[in-house]
Amino acid sequence: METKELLLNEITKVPNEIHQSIMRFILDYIYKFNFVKEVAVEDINEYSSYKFTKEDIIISLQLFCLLKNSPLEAKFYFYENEETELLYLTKKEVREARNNGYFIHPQNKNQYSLDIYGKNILLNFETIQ
Amino acid sequence: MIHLNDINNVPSHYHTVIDRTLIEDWNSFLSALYKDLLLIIKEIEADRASAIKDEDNITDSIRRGLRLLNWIATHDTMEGGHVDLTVELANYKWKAEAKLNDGAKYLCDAFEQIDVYTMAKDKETGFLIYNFNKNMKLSIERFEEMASNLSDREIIFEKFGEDTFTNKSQFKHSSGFFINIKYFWINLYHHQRTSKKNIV
Repeated sequence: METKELLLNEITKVPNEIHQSIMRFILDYIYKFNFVKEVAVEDINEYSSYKFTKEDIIISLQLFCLLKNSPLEAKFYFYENEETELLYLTKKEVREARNNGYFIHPQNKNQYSLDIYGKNILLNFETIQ
Repeated sequence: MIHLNDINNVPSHYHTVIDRTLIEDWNSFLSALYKDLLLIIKEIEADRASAIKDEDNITDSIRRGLRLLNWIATHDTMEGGHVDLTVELANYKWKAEAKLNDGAKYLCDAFEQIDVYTMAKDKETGFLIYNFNKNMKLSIERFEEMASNLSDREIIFEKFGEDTFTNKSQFKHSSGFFINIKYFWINLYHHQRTSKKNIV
């Protein structure tokens, strides 16, 4: 079976029908625009003709990343301020941050409070090239 | 890109959304699953006055709760043996046995069922115990004493968690390998008031 069919098959197992519908749009979008490196909530919102809420699209993107052989990956980044570069945070680092209330800056290795800097952590959905 | 704070504002899906995204191995899968499972158990215990003393009914309530939180949960499947509850996500699958607390012997019989549907490669399985007895502490002690004396299983229980009636034990599978069992004692006992109106 083709990967797309396998993914469609996986999508049918998702319990919520709205999320299933959105995930089909995500799949179509990725296969139609196979050059894209990332998928934003607004991309899917526009592609699905604004039929769904932003919250449901976020959940669906995350569920999509968890499908077997998913072509999409959730990645976390941190920026200290508008002028600094985006720094990649591993899932393990974000998990530990949620458990401990702080995370270690990837470069200077200082502890950063999640309460203060949590707003500087971004989630991006990137295609696996 | 989405700010983590935007996701935190997603109503009622907070735990689901963040923890689900952070799943990347068996332990992070279990951590996210158990967090949601404990939320559902808390809800069921809070509404224990309306709980029906029926294994399938309670397991189905848990299954529905899990599905509402976007877990692929199924009740009563056949996988080498009858499995009461199966939860899947990504490449991970967790199976659980569900039993009413009808005494230590009845609970210990579950180990044979667990042995049938688990495989040596399974790292951890669940055991949901629905308690309607007043003295749950005594039930736990009797069960753990009897289970610990099953010589072929080599079961050693860990202490309970601080805030929940959950603990773990190792379990010697018939393949000779050890797997973990995570126990969830769900307390559904409620005091039933008797009406004195008709007493002369």
